[in-house]
Amino acid sequence: MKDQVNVLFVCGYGLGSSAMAEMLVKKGLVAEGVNAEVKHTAVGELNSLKEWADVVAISKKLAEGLTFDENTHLVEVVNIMDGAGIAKQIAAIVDEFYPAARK
Amino acid sequence: MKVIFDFLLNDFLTKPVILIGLLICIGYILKREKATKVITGTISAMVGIQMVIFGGNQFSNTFKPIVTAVSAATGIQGYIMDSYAMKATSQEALGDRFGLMGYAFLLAFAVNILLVFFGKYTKAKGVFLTGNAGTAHAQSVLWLVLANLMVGNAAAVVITGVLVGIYWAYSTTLAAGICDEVTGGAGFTIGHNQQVGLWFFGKIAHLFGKKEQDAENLKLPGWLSIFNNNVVATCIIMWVFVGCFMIPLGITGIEELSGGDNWIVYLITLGITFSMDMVILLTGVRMMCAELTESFKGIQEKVVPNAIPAIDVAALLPFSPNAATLGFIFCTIGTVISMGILVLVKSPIMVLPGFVPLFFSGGPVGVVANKKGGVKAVIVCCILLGMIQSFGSVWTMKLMQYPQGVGWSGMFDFTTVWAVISQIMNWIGKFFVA
Repeated sequence: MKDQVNVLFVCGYGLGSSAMAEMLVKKGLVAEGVNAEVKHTAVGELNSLKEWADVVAISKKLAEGLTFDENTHLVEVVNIMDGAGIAKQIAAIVDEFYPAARK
Repeated sequence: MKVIFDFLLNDFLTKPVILIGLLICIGYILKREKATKVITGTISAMVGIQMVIFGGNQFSNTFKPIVTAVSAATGIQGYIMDSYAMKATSQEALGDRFGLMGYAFLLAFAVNILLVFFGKYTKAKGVFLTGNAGTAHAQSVLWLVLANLMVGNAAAVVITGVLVGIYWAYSTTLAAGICDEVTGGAGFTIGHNQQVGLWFFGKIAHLFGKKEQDAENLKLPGWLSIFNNNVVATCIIMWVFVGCFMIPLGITGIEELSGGDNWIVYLITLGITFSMDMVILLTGVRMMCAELTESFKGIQEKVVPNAIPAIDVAALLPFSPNAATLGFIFCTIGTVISMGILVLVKSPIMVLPGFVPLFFSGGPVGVVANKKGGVKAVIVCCILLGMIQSFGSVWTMKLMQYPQGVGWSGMFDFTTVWAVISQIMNWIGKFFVA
């Protein structure tokens, strides 16, 4: 049983908004008691981290045309500043699929 | 003693990677990080800086032979308008002075925080948190100050810090209203390279259409999603624009340039190489700015907790994805129209768009225009945006004081606000020298 989930934030260039979201959601995940490792990247470089990620947080527009493994869970991001809200969505996925990763 | 001093001043501290590395190291020590963290963090950031310098040179080396050949054949000087072209040019122009950028950058952040701290009197509310764009501002404005005002290094760092800090504080505050409107009060503003443009188009977009004709009700063709992929989009855009730019050379000219390779092979490789240059730069910036956002957000929360965080422009795009795609398309059309006009009037300068000004100005301006005036406003505003950015770029290329550079930013604020500031600095510089 996995006791840690890998969360990946994806944005256009993998510099600004995914880094900001990663930082805010990290705080939110700690508050939720989820044991997670969080990274961020750009759409163009996504392939190198696809295997690693259990949960991918991405906007609907960027997710268009991408394909993911059936074991990868997607979280739709609208407001990247809503760290607590995104963390709650991830926590719900963790409860269902990776219960050992939640304290 | 003198030997040590000479070594420090003449060898050690003149290299950008050491100068900025030192700054980052001190930052970690001030944050009371563990010794292992100080070492790993500093070395990673230094590798990042070295990679940024390498990527910038690589970018210039890819493009310069083409410019030289086309210039020899037609007399037209070509420049790329893209944030990464500005990075490459200013790095090259600054040379060993590039390291001073770190100090100008920190000073700018301090000025920004100070203006917001006294917000009651200054009316400033936004704090600029986008490290990737901020470092580019610091280095490019540092060069503009040095080249136009012709002052010493220390004075240039101070002037750059103050100018950029003021720009950060007020441009982000200007854009706060329209960002709130687009996001439904998400509580952030934009701190990037086009926030003055967002404010400007937010003011005029309602004139061109009705906001009830929402772009989000349209169905856009699915293949457009390939432009979401930065690696692919950069390659395609470079194929198209650099490829067209090389038409005057003819097949023989291109094969001369390629050193004997078949022209088709050469053109295909060229787009791929441009995209690779960008990935190198991106990776370098990522390593250099890894924890910058976090540190700056921490300082902002401590010192000015009620400030509006100003973040990367991509944050606006999910609020109106169709408008963002349409904005990209019509900004590209506006740019192509402008390039056509430049050819018709036989301009000695030709500007070629990179991906950033088309996507990261066109997209968000599309989102803003759609909110205020629907799909018709998106079309009008983004064509206008493309034209402002193109003709503004022609003006900026003359002001960047480095004609051999690969190009300069084609983003709205850098082709309007900063063009005006550069022009004024240029006049002041000339006045005092004359």
